[in-house]
Amino acid sequence: MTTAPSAEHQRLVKMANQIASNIPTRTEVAAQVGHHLRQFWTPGMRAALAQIADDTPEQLSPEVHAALEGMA
Amino acid sequence: MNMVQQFDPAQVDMSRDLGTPGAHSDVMVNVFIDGMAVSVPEGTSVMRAAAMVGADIPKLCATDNLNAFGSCRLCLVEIEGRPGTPASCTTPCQEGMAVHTQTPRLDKLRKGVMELYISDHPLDCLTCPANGDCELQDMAGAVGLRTVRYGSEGENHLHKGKDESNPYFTFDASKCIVCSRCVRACSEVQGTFALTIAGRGFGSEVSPSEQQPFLDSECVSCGACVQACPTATLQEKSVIELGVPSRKVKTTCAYCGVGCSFVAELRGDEVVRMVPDKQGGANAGHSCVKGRFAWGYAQHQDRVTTPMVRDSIEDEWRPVAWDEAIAFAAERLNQIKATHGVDAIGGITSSRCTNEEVYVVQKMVRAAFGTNNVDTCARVCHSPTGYGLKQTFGTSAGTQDFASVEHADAIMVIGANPTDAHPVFGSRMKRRLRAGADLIVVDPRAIDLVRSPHIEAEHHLQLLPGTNVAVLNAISHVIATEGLIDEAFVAERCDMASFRAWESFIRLPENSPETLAEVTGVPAEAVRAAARAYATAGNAAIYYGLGVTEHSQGSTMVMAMANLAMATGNIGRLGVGVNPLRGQNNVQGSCDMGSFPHEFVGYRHVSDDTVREQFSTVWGVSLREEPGKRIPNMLDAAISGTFRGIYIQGEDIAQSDPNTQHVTAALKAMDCVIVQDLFLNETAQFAHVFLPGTSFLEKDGTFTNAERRINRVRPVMSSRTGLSEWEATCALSEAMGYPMPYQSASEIMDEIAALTPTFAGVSFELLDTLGSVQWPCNEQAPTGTPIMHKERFVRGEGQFITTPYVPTDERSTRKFPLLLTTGRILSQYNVGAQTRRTDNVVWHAEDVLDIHEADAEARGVKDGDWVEIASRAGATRMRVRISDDIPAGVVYTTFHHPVSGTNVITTDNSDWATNCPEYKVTAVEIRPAAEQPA
Ligand code: SF4
Ligand code: SF4
Ligand code: SF4
Ligand code: FES
Repeated sequence: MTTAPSAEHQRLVKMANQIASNIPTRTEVAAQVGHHLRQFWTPGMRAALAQIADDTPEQLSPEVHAALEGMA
Repeated sequence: MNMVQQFDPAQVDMSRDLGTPGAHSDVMVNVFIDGMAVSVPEGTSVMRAAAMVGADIPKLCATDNLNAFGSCRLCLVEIEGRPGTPASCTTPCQEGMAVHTQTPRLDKLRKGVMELYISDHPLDCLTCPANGDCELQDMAGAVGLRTVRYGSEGENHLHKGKDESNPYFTFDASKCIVCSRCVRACSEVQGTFALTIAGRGFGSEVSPSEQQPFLDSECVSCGACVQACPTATLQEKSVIELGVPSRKVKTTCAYCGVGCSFVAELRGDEVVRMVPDKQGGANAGHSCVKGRFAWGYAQHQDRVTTPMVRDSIEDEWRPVAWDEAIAFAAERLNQIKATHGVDAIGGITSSRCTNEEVYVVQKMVRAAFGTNNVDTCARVCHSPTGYGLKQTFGTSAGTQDFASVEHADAIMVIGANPTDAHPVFGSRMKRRLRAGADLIVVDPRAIDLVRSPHIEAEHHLQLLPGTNVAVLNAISHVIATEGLIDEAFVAERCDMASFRAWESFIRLPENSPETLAEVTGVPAEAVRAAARAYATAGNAAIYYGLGVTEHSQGSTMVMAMANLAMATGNIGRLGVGVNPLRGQNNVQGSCDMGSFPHEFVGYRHVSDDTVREQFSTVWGVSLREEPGKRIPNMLDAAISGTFRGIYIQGEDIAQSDPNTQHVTAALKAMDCVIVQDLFLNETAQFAHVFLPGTSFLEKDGTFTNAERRINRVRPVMSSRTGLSEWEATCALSEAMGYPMPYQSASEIMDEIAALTPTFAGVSFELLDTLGSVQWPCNEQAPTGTPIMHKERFVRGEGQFITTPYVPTDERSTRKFPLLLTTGRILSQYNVGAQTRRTDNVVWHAEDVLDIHEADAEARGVKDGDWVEIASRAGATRMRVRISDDIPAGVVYTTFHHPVSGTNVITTDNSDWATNCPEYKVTAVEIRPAAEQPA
């Protein structure tokens, strides 16, 4: 395979961080991000994101971490 | 009075030409036409009233989609108590008027007029292409003209030559009777003002622009003048070539989201011409060059009509019978399923296909594949509309019908180019603008609307690409801080807690036009003026397009517009609203039909137990409660090796999706790619199974346009592939173990109606009776809903949502200092698969890059030079055009030709909520290139 195998993970990281910075609320960011992930992400994508949070926590914003914790 | 017959207006056949447009008045006047009493709205012409009771008055210069002109003098009548013989087309009915349409005196006068016309007209009726379809011929018959006293030896126009420059119609000046119908059609209906009558008296003649050939003139080839011409002067070339049509079928254009109704006119199985349907709910008899003329692709030699398979994409295609192709596809998909699980396969539905075709594909994916991995090409255009309008108003749809624009006092056009991308609606909008509505354009480019004949935008906010949300926030800031909020509307209709949160957010100094000017590039005063114009207009309407959605904050922007409309009370009545202009013909429909991985038909989340239970029961299969993958996630997973099979309906993702290299790598990595399309498109290069699709001329079903109007698409000819598309899908589903035994498309619609509250009343039978219907159509609204959210929002109370501006990651840098934005032009459609296979190429042989003079100069580039355009994703080459439509720092191109490979350079940035790609902003650099690409 020629393309970097991490393309999928890179996208998840980018999507999650982008959701956290754009979610249209200033008060319940973590809860709203969690809700968004449940509404629109497959369980596989959520699991992969949780794995990324464990493996390379620095890639995800604090809001994404908070959202994942809230969902666990 | 009781001696006369009273006429029932309900009996009028509105498909006939009633001579002059209908009048809009609540006051009725009673008149007598040849003794028949008829009651008509004040302002109705005598000609129309007469036509309504069946007393057709001879006419040449009048037709009911144009204002009366009164030039031919054929329509004379006598009115009791009045001297003379007034022209009935320009005489309004007055109470008690008694009109006579047939008298010996009128007979004589009309014959005299006809004689003059005929004496200067070539008498080659038998060989004329319009023979049997010519009003001049009909009128000669109607007035009983048998002899012509004047010979054709006198001075005449018979020697005039033909202008054949337009690929679709000819102009034969020798046949012109100078009735001006074409000139008026071009100005009143189309709004292009390309035609004038040059010269005076005997020397007067029709002239495109400044005595130019049609092709070189301002003409946009909409066909309105051809339609209006009563003679063979302006005539479709297809009619000249094939002869006058002998049968008709009503159907719907398959190009853009306007969804124009057409009458396909045929000889046998051959289409002779497409004529816009006067009764079409969306177009009321108008058309654009695409729907009117560019249908030839359906018969193009490139079309593949036989199924084909191959083991690997290195192999040659092997044409096979349907059964074999279906068995091959089913076996491969089942194999992947068995080895890698149901999540390893999925499907993509197409916005070019009918509701019924889309419905069966998403049903096959959910029920036969057993996964929610279904997405649609609307992902790349209007998915943010779905998200944003659902959050704020409660449903994913435009709020108005098209006709509503006629009641707007201020029109805000954001990131849309209606005259090119939605031309028939564009014409309607222009009519309203000429009548005096204010125009606010929010666009980096000076689109045509900004300055066109008799129209000038009062406000053009020429923002930098990627700063939509900042501009909208600034507009709302002005409205909130200058006391322009419609407090009463908000209090009555909206959720107050959300409003308060939004209001305190929007009032923050960070949202003021002064603060944001630096980011947006729009002077604060211009924003303030536009905000005031919108808020104080009375009826203010927003129309928007892909320039809103295809951004990293596309969804936020849709919500920002919804906030603005609610805050100013511009929602829930005629003349207002928030209206997406959809790109492809059935974007609305494909979204409605459950094409998104998280939603069933009618925008209901897959996790909703009640809804899922309903579908499970009717479909007889258990369904998943978790959302499936979106297109980009499917592609990523393909590259990772966990997604291996895909069914792609009528889409060319290798060309239309961003970052081409990534898409093709993903397609290459899969074990089974099934493409269903008309042509072997770019995506098909990576396919293992090709299932030939049907053109709209062969389809039976429905399309839903941008105003939620469900229109019938009727088969004009039999399928050239032997199967309809939904039959092919059902066959595959059955081969995979889940039969879908529908007998007809109408049966599919019945199932949709049974499962979807907003479609409950829809059936082919109802559509055949009413012509079309706008959903919601159910017990509460049996004939549909032209305007939504009238008394309450679909979600109950309107929800305000705070919309902080977050700049995109895609910024101009030292390496890539210019921002590329993309759009489309009138004559071409999307990736051009259809339009490039028609004569429309005369208007757009290649994509070019528009660049500001200063940027060009700085790079040593001249108009017409080849340049290389590079982004961090890739590079391509194009010719440049120096243009002052765009500001310095911005470059612009279209994406209609595969060789220009625009998506080679677009990145995989996307909308935060929906992953709609950020096509509208790519940081690029350009430099001179020696030659064009191979
Ligand atoms: S085709 Fe349309 S734009 Fe061209 S001259 Fe006729 S009415 Fe005008
Ligand atoms: S071209 Fe046709 S519509 Fe135009 S003035 Fe001549 S006859 Fe009338
Ligand atoms: S406006 Fe759109 S729907 Fe109407 S004819 Fe043109 S392409 Fe077709
Ligand atoms: S139709 Fe009335 S004057 Fe021509």
